[in-house]
Amino acid sequence: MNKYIPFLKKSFPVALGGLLLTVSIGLMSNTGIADDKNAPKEITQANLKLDTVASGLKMPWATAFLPNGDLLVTERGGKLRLVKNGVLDPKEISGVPQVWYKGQGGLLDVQLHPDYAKNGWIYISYSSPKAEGEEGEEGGANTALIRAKLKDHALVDVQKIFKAIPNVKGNVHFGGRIVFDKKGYVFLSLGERGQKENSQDLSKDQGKVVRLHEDGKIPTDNPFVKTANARPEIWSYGHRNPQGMVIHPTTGAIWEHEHGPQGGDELNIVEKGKNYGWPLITFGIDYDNSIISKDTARAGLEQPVIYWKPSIAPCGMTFVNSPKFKEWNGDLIVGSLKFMQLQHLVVKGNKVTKKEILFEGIGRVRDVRQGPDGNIYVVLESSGTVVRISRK
Amino acid sequence: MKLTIIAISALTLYSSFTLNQNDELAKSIERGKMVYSENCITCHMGTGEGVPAAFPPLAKSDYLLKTPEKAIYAVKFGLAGKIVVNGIDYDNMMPPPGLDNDEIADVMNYIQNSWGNNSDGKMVTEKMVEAVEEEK
Repeated sequence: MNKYIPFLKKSFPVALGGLLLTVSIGLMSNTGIADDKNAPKEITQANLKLDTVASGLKMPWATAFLPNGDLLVTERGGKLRLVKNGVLDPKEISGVPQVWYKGQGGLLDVQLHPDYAKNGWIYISYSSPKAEGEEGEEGGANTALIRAKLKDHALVDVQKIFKAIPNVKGNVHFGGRIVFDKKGYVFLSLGERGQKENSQDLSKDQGKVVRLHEDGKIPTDNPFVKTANARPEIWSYGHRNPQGMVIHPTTGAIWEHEHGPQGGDELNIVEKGKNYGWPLITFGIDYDNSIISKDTARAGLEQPVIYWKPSIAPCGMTFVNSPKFKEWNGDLIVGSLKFMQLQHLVVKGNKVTKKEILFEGIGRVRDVRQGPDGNIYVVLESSGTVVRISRK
Repeated sequence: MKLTIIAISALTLYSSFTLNQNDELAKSIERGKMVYSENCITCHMGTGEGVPAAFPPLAKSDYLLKTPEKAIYAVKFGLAGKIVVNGIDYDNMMPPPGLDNDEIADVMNYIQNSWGNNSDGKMVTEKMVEAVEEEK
């Protein structure tokens, strides 16, 4: 328990803020407006339990739930694993493409197609080494997206549907989150690969969110299809390293979070053709303490919903939309790599009205998902586990 | 006379050797700075101060300076569990950054010679990194 204490100290101002807000909500509910069914009632960490559902993984990055109850888990080193009845299958899944495992690169996200039960498509993102004829630096890499089907312990019918261009040798900022909008499109988030100015360059995929048909074809109504020298797959730009991306369960909007510079991690609502400002505007400074921009806002550049100062290194996120957590429905649960915690963000419309820290010291969080059973699952890089959060 | 020549040439050889070594070290530190800014800076911070209670400092770190082999191990294979740095406990996890041995040598030389740290001209080489093996 001792190891939690330093974190509590750090989070005290936030916790205090949360407490005050909770108290004020409590007071409000005593003034006769208690029947507002939208008012968040309390779920506290004390009402929740944490169970390990998979262990023995090596640097897991993401997990997806197969209809038979098995978990698919990516390990950043390049392996795709199965977890059956809470036990890690020792046999890895074959047919995974060669990944560029270096720095922050490797095997990244995994998502099932929304109609997986019918079509069997699994989508996987990864750092892909430069192939013959591709643009960019020799020995470099960038993020790619494949889809494939699972047959026993093998990926079959593997189709490479997208590769971000150009390849870059630096080993940071791959982004890599995959999301389906259920209208027939798949979105992939891409980091700027450590070359911040390229986030603003529409002729490169760095620092972008791209939108594709589910087979990788480029939609003709993408925002820059008719712009000279722009890459037609781009949906939004000016991102740094987006590693959380989800669809709002009722509005259908894309919510994204990204690693910013020191003190500049952001939560954004990603919309068609918009510029999210990196590195022209930012709330943070560079990690070497130099100033990136004196501006936090400029006309034509989008503002984040919230930003984190200090940076929490957000990774993974889910909207809660579960009968098991009714009080939290419509809210976000965000993972933090850096501070090894979860953050519960109370969402009202397009605003976050409260931030609450949960499970201090849980481990380096890579992925947060709501399972088909309505519980919340968290992938922890540090302990090589997947854990389930449920009501006591 | 002969002796003088030998002495002078020996001296020249020696100084060119140390010069080369210093030159090599300076170049390695320069490359290591790049490696650091890509892989280490977000947790150990721009001036090696770390983050209190979460990530240990590298600046004036006894762990780094007194037991560089442990630091090489951490950079090569990652680190999990409790360590003590300058008398303070840290219980966290550092993922292996996936660097090549020459990059590990470079970043070691950089962190051993920055923010008040000084290796007294001693250099970590690729061979030394190669020799560090994973404990199973």
